[in-house]
Formats: sequence, C-alpha cells, structure tokens
Amino acid sequence: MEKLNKTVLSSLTLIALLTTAACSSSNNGNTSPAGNNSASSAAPSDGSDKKYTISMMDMTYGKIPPSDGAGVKMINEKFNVDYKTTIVPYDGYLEKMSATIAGGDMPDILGIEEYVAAGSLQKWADQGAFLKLNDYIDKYPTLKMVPAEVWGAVTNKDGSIWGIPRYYPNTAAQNFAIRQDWLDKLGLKMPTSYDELAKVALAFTKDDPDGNGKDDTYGLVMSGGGYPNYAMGAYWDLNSWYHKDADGNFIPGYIGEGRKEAVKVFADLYKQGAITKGFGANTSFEQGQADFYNGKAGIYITGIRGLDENLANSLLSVNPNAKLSAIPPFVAPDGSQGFMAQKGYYRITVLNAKLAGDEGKIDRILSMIDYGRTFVPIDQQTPDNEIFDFRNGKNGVGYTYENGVATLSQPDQGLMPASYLPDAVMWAPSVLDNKYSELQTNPLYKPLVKELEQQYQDFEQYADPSNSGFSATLNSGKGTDAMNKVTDTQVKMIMGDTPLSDWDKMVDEFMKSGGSDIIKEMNDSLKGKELIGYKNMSK
Amino acid sequence: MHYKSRADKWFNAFNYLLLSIVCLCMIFPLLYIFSVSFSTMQDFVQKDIILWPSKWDLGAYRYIFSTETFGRAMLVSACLTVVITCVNLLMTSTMAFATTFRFTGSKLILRMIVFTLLFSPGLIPSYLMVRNLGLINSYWSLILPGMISTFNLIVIRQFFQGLPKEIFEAANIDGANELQIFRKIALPLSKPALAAFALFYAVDAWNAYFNVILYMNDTTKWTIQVVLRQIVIVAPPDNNLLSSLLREPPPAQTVQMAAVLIATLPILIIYPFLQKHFAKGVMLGSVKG
Repeated sequence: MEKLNKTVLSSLTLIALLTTAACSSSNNGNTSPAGNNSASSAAPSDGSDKKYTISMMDMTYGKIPPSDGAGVKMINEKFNVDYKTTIVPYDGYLEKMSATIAGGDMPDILGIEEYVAAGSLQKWADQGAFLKLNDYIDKYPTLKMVPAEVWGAVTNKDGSIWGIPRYYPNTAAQNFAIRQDWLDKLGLKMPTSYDELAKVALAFTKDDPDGNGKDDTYGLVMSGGGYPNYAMGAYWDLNSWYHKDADGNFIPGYIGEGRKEAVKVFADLYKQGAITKGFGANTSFEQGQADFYNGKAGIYITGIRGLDENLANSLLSVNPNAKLSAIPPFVAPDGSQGFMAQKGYYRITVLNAKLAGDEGKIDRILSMIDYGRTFVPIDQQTPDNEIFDFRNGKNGVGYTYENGVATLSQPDQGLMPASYLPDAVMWAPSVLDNKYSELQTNPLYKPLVKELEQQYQDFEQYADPSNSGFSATLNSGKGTDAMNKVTDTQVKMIMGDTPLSDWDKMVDEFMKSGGSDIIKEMNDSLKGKELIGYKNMSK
Repeated sequence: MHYKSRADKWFNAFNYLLLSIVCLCMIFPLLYIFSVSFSTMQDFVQKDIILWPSKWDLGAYRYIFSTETFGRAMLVSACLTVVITCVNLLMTSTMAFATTFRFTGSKLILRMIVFTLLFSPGLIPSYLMVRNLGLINSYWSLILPGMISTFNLIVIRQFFQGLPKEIFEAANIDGANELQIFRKIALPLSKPALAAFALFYAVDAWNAYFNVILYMNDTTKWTIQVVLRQIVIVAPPDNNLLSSLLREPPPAQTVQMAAVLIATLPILIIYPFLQKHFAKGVMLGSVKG
C-alpha cells in the first residue's frame, strides 16, 4: 500500500496548497488586481469634457432595470460619463452593501435604506467611509433646499455631512379625521382639548349620531398595539422625543408626561365603550379601519396623502352625507401647539470617501444627483419640459403622453433614465408644492386634504430631535423589546387590565431593560447638534 | 399469507386515509398553482378558488416567454445547475475517497475538514476571497466557493468506508492504481449515494439566490430565482409619493403562478428519477458507517 499512500498524499498536499493559496490571497486585501472595476479611477480632472467612469449601487423594492438599458445610454451621453449601475432587490441588499463596503469595493455612489442598514450605517459614517459633503451643498440648488433638521440626520458628531437625504414629505406623522356630519347632527363643536375630545367620543357612542335608532356607533377607532395613538400634538406623541427628564435629557414620548395623560383619557373612554372593543395587542389595523369607513366610528387617523379612494367610497355608500374634518392640534400644557413632523427624507445617497480630491468627478456626480432631484411642478410634467422628458426616457419611447396623462414604461425595460439616476425623487421646495388637494378627486377626501393643507400653514410642526440622533441600543433587538414591552403595558392600561398606578413601575422596568442606555446614547449623540423644535414646514 | 386481524385492517385503512390526506395537502397547492396559471384573470378575480381552469388560457405563459429575461435566466440556471452538480460531485467524491486512506497527516486533514463544519468564516471573508480571486460578476463565483459541502463529504466518506475493503485490495493486487480503483470500482458501487447527493447539489444550485445577489452585478447574468422574485414579489406602489420610479402595477396573479410553476418544474421532473436512489442512498451511507 506504500504507493497508494504516496499518490494520495501528494494529491492532498496539492489540494491543501491550493486552498492556502486562495486563503492567503484573500488576506492581503488590496493586492488583487481584478474584481475592482471602477472605485478608484483617480486621475485628476482638467475640464468638463473629460469622461468619467462612475459606478453606482442601489436597491429597489420594485422591478429591476437591466444593467445595459437604453436609459443608461441616455445618461452616458447627457453627462459624458461611463455609468455603471448595480441595482439589487432589497432582500440581500444589506449583506451585499456590508460586504462591498468592508471589502473596499464601495462604488462611487451608494444608495442606502436606513431601515435595512440599521445600526451599521452610523458605524460606517463614523469610520469615514463616505465623502464629506459640507463644501458642496451650496453649489447645487436641490441640495441647498434641504432643511437644516434633515441635514442633521446625516451629520456626524464632528459636523461633517456624509450623505444626501432623498425627498419624502415632512407632513405630520399622524393627522386625525372626525365625522363633521356627526358633530353637526349632535350640535357639538370641534374638540380643542382631550376633555372635549372625550366628550365628543362619548356622545358619538351614546347619542346615536347616525340617527338609525340603534346603539351601533362609537368614538375612537383603536387597533392592535393601541394604534393610532391620537396624539393631538408633539407633546402627546409617543414617538417624539419631546419631553425631558429631571437632568434635562430628552426622553422618548412613550414614557413622557403627555403619553401618560393620553393613556388616562383612553382608559376612561375604553371603560365607557367609546373605543373599539377588545382591540388588544394583535387585532389588525384593517379591522379598525373597516369600522370607521363603514360608519361605525367617528374619529380615526388620516393624512394629507396616501388616502385610499376605495375606503372613502365605501363610507359614502353607507353614509352618503358623510363629511370629514381634520382635528387641529390641541394646545399643550406647556403652551405648544402642533403635530410632530415626519423625518422629511427617506433613503440616503452617499459618495465614496475615496473620491476626495477628484473635484471634477465629484462635480459630475453631484450634478447628476441634482438633475434627478430637480422639482417639476405637476402642471409642467409634459413632454415640453426637458427634465421631465429626459428623466422618463423621451416621449414615445420611455413613456407615452396622451390627453394630459403620461403613461410610463416598466422599469425592467430599462428605457427611463429615472430608473438609473442615483436619486430621481424630486425635492419639492415646500410640501404644499406637491398640490395634494388638487390631485385628490374624491368628494370625501378633497375638502379634508384642503383643510389639512391649511393647518399646515397655520400651525408649526415639531421636528423630532431623535431624527438627528442615534442610539445603537434602540436599533438592536434589546431596544425593540424594551419599547414593545412599554407599548404592551400601555395597551393593557387602556383596556383596564393593568392599573394606571403601574405607570412608574413600567418606566422603571423600561429603564432597567435598556431604556437608560437608549436615553444616554441618544442624548450624547445630540450634543452639539442644532435642534430645530417647532417650525413652519410649509415655508 | 399472513392472517389479517380486524385491528390490522383498521390500521391499514387508517394508514391509507392519513397518507391520502397528507398527499392531498401536498398536491393541492401545486394543483392550485397549475390551474391558476392557465386561467384567465377574470376567472381568478371572480372565483373564490380554482382547482381546474374552466377556460384554458395561455396568456400568462405567453407573457413570460415574451420577456427575454425569463428565458435567459432559465438557461443560466439550467447550465449552472448542470455544471455545479457535476463539479461538486466530482470534487466531493474524490476528496471523500482520498480521505478514506491512512497516511501521514491524514488525521490532521480530517480534523481540518471537520473544523470548517463547525466554524464558518462568515460573509465578509467569503466575499473578500471571491473578490480578490477576481470572480465578482463571473459565474465562477457561484461554482468555485461551494464545490464541496463538508457535510456531504463526510457522509460520502462514510459510504466509501462501508464498501468491503477486500474488493479494493483485490484490484490493487491485479495492478490497478488508485485512480482506476476509484473510477472503476468505488464510483460504480456508490451510484445510489452519488445520485442522492446529485439531487442535493442540484436543488441547491437551482435555488441559488443570495450568492447571485452578492456576487453578480450584471443583471443579464442573474439566475431564475432572482428573476422569479422580481415577478412574484414586487412591492405595492405608493402612487401618492411623487416618484415616477414607484409607479408600476403589480403583476397579474396568473403570471406569478405561471412563473412559479415553470421555475419549479425542472426539480419536479428530476425528482422521481433520483428518488429511488435518494431513499436508499442516504440511509446506506449513514447507517453502515
């Protein structure tokens, strides 16, 4: 068997050698010549006619355009670039993103989704993976338009801005609609405080507002997890970091004074049958929604956009005279009045830190981003508008324009440059420029949206400081568990299963199970940052 | 003949009933997918459930094959599956055969193999290795890193060890070298085991999703599972956000079902042919070892 052993041994040694070779080449990071397509084309620029190779990676929830679509060619011609895109579905994007960043393969432009990236994002930013953008912002109109509180979310502790937020309307996180026809019928006024809200809710429950002679209506809709929270201003909002503790630290609204007050009101209302019976922790929100839009309940969450016309029609089919009004924010005990605003952005575009110094290329990239973000008002979204026409791949090719309506082609056909541009979400100068009330055609919603737009001009909105800060614990499973526990307890309090006197116990438990870390981390990260507070977002 | 007691009969009847129910549970979803894929969209919307199409409609299939993407992805996946299965089987069986011999350092090598079973390097080192070998965007990135599944290697090794040594010794005396022994004796004797692992490897290769996302940047090189996801799961549009990107109708259900069916078909077709080996092969390897 001597011969046999030798052959086996030598072949195994060969395998072992090959394996070690593979491993060692993976260990000395930058020596490999291949696989690194364009992250480092570092020749200095000496004119705008220079052609740059620009790589971009982003994810999409929708259909994925082919890497070589006609849209890319249009971009190449217009911007004089060799544009290489990698667009990935969201499953697996975090891993791909982490691997490319850790592998030093980061493309010139990277799109990031905050929820997907969760805790890693802050780490990468702190480690300087992304290009510092402070000096460029003033040069590009759509970057200049970004409000200070939104920049705050992509600013490091040392003041460097590391990302470009993409547009998302900063409307109130929650607005509330009330059945105006019921108010009128019962001769009630629009509530301006929780006391009045409670009275209205009780009247809606007991005084037969729909006049059918049956006891089949109630006040507020509430579904699983105590949603919506009927925070009639940032003071009561459980998601906003409005309140401060004795040491002057911001604390989450979940454990704040305002929420405590609201839970007390809801517990009382629930006892008297004015809130959805048995909503518990798990009932779906569709169930609650159905109650409101079937004319069973009088008060529910609404918004300035994203309203479902089918729901409105189902309410109109049950109650043809139904009329909705928006409840204005209440005056808080501290004198403030205004809802909490949303973050004002969704997803972030970052540039590779290695671009530093290559001003020509940075300018080319930022011009592309700026072009994609340029706002085109609704009435100008026609083939005559050069930006609109280009972004959607030219009339008759990427889209067709008939009777004033543009029908876009599918992204997976790759005909629209918009599918490839690093950021193709238009940045509206003011949220009112989106003309939500003009776009809304439903007779039930149109007046409601108009009212909300008016409220938007009349009341200031609260920019939540936590949007500018970061807590690692909050983004971990531990933080989620702690938060969920608080929500559960509050649901039980509203339903009368846990006494309200347990409030302090609940706060203590939250603090012990990670809450104190969350508060400390958040407040540390906010130090030195400019916090806006209330602000008129329509300007 | 065995005498069948009343209890035996009841037991049999119960068995048949139970197995029939289980069987129906397995067949029902497939039948549903099949029927919906051949139905018209109107039927799908109007009827609560479709177990057999009342009107046969090939629209969904026509749509799928009219897009270049789907056919290309099928071809990519099919080729990859064949190549990956062959390469993996070859590498796994040669390595498994070699490790059955005792020689200097053989124990160390075995321990190293088991070590990889317990400690995986993780995502980023794997990515770095693939990148530094220059395999990003190359089909090799899907073939090379996973050539040997350690677990399969160990099971096949056990199988080889279970073969009677006398045969090998006889062949050795007759002048056959190791390669000849491997090819002419060991391999033919282990057909059932190889068939079983061929199926394992083939199913894995056909289902490849994550590695494709990770290593392949070029959409034209994507495999069927990635494309399938595109057809089946596309986020519902938020048409009030003024972004032209998000405006797209979700695909019709019939098209989704047709896509699912086509993508499952190859595995469904191979399975019966390998199944007889499958049941026998894995058991033999593991029990005897």
